[in-house]
Amino acid sequence: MIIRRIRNQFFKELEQFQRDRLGLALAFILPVIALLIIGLAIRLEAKNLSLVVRDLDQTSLSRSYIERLYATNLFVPAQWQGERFPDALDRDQAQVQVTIPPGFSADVDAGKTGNVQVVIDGSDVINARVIKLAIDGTTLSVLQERLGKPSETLGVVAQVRLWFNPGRQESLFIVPGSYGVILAIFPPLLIAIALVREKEQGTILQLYASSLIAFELLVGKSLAYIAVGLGEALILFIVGWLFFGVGFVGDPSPLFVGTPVFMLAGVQLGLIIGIFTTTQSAAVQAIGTIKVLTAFLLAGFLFPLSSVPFPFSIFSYFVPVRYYIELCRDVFVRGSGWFGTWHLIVAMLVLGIAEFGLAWWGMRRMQLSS
Amino acid sequence: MLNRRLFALLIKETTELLRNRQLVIFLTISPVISMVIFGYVLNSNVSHLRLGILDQNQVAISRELIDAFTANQVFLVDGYTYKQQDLTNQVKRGKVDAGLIIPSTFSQDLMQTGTSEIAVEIDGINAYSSGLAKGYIAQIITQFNLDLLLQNQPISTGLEIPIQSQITFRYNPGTLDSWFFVPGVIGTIITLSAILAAAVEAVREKDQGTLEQLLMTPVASTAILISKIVPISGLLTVTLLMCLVVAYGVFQLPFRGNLLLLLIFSILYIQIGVALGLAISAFSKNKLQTILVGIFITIPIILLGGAVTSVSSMPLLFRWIAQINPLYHYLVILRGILLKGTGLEVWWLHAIAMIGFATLTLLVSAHRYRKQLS
Repeated sequence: MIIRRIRNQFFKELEQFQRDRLGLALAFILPVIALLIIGLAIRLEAKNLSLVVRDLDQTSLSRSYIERLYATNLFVPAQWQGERFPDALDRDQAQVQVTIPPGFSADVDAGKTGNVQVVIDGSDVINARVIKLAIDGTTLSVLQERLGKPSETLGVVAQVRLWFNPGRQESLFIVPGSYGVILAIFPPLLIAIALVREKEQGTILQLYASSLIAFELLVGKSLAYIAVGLGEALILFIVGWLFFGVGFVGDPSPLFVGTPVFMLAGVQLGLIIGIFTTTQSAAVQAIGTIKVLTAFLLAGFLFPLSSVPFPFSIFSYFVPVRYYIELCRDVFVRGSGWFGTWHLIVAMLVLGIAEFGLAWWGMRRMQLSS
Repeated sequence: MLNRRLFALLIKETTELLRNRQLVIFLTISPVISMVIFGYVLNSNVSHLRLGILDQNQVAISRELIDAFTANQVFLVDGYTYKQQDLTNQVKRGKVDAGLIIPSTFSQDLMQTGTSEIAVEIDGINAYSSGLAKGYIAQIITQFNLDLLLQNQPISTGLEIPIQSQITFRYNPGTLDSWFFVPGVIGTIITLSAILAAAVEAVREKDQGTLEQLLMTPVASTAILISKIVPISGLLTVTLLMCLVVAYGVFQLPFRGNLLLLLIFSILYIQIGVALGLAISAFSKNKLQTILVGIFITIPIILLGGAVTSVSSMPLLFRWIAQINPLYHYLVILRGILLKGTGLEVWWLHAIAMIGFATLTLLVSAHRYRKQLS
C-alpha cells in the first residue's frame, strides 16, 4: 500500500516535470553549460602578472636579478609609460613594481646590505601572496649564487614529488569539484520550486485532504528529484570525460553509491526550504543564498578548508557538498577506492537522514499553517 | 495626474513587497549574516597542512630542518613514521597533505660533499594548495641553505646579509584575505538578490494573471515598469548599506575613496541587476524557466567577474568576456574606492561601461515589458 502510493507520487511528479518541455531542457542543458564555463574559465594559478621594473643601478648584478625575476615565468612586463611611479598600481596597470636603487651593487660589494624595493598590489591577496613567494625566492637564489660558488648545487636539495596531478592540471582540480557545486544547486532548486508551486496553486490542499501521509509524500517527491538529479549527474560525468578528459581512476563504485546519497541530502534541503517558505520568490532567494553561496564558498571547491579559522570551520561540516567534492576528487583523481571514501558517504548519509527528519517534522501535520 | 497614478502604483508595489515577510528577510538579514560568515571563512592562504615525517637520520641538523618546515604554520607535524612505504601510503590516501623524507645519510652527505638530498611528497589532489605548498617548500629550503652558508662564513665578512628585498603590500599592508573577499561577497550578494528577486517578483504577476488587471487601469506602461523597479531597488539599497556597515564595523575595510561615488555606482549596479531580472522574466514563459535561467545566469556572472578569483589569471578569451560582465566593472570600482582610494580619473572607463550596461538593460527590459503589456 505504502509502496504503491509512493510509486504513484513518484510518477506523478516526473510526469509533471517533463510536461514543461523547455523547463525540462533547461534543467539538463544549464548544468552542462555551467560545467563548461567553470572548467574553462576558473584558474587559480597565477599567470601573466604585470610587473614594472625600475633599474636605477644598471649593473650586471641588478640585471641578473631582473633576469631571474622573469625566469620565474610568472611575470610579464607591464605596459606602463607614466612618470610617477606608484601610479601603475593605482591604475591597475601593474600588480607589482620592483625598484633597484642606485648603488645597489656597490653596496653589496662593500659588504653592506643592498635593498631591492618591492611594492605589491595587496588588494588582490591571492596574487599578492604568490608574488611575494616569487620575489623572496628570486632574492634568495641570487643571494645563494653570490655566497656560494655559482653553478654548483649547495646545501640541501629537495626532490619534490606531486602525487596524482604532477603537472598541476587545473581541470583535474576544478572539474570534479564543479560536479559537486552544480549538483548541489540544481536538483534542490527543482524540488523546492515544485513544492512551493503546489502551495501557491493550492493543489497541496488536495494532498492534505487525501489519505496520503507525510512520509509517503516526501519519499515520493524526493525519489522523483533524486532520479532527475542522477540524470543530470550522468550527463555531467560524460561531458567531463569527453570534453575535459576527466575519467575514472581506479574503482568507480564509491561514486555510484555516493551520488544517490548526496542527491538525498541535497534534495532534502530543497524540500525543507520548500516546506518552510510560502512563496516561490522566498524559496528561490533561500536556495540562492544558502545553496549557491555555501556550495561555491564553503565546500572547499576553490580554497582548502584547512585554513578556515576554528569557529567557522564548524559550518563546513554541515555542508554535504564538501564531502561530495572530496568523493569526486578521490574517484576521478586519486583512486583510493572504498578504503579512502567510505567515511564521506556515511557523513552524507547521516546529514541526509537528519534533513529528512527535519522535513518530515515540518510536514508531519499536513495542515495549512495559520 | 500621471504623478499621482505613479505614486499610487508605487505604494501598491511597496506594500506588496513588504508584505512578503520571508522575502524581505531573505533580502536583508540573510545577506548580512552570510557576509559575516564568508568574510571570515574565505581564506586563500594555505596553512596548517598536515606534514608526515620520516626522519631516518635523527640528528640535530635533521631536526633543525623539520623545525624550519613547521616554523611559520604552513606545515603542522601530523606524525612520524618509520617506513617510507607507510609515509607514501599516507600521502596517497590523503591522511597527510605532505610527507618529508630525510634519508639516513643526510648529515653525512652534507658534511662531506656539501650537498644532500631530501624528498618531499605532496598530495596533488588540490592543484591550488599543492602549488602554493611547493613554493613554500622551495622558500624554506633556500632559507635553510642560506642559514647554513651564513653559519659557515668566515667572520671577516660580517653578519650583513648582502641582498634583501623589502616588500610592502600597498592598499592591504596586512594581506588580510577579508579585504579582498568582502567586496567580492558584497557584489555576489547584490547580484544574486537583485536578479532573482526582480525576475521572480515580475513573473509572479504574470502567473497570477493580475497583469491583465493592471492593463485595464489607465496607467502608462512606463509607470508600471517604474513601480516594479523602484521598491525592490530601494530594499536592495538598504541591504547594500547594511553590508557596507558590516564591512566597516566588522572587517575594518579602509573606505579610502569617495563615499558618494561608492553609493552612486552601487545603486547603478542594483539597477543593472534588477533590469536583468526583469528582462529574464519578460523573455521566459513561466516561473520555472525564469528561476532556472535566473540562477543559471548568476553563476557565470559571479564566477567570471572576479568576485573570488582574479580575472587576470583567466585564459585570454575569458578576460575578454569579463569586459561584458557588469559585476567585473562594479568590483573594480568597489575595490578601487574601498581599498585603493582611487577616483573617477582612474576607473572612468569602467564607470562608462557600467552606465552603458544600466542604460542597455533598462531599455531592453522596458521594451520587452511594454511589448508584453500591449
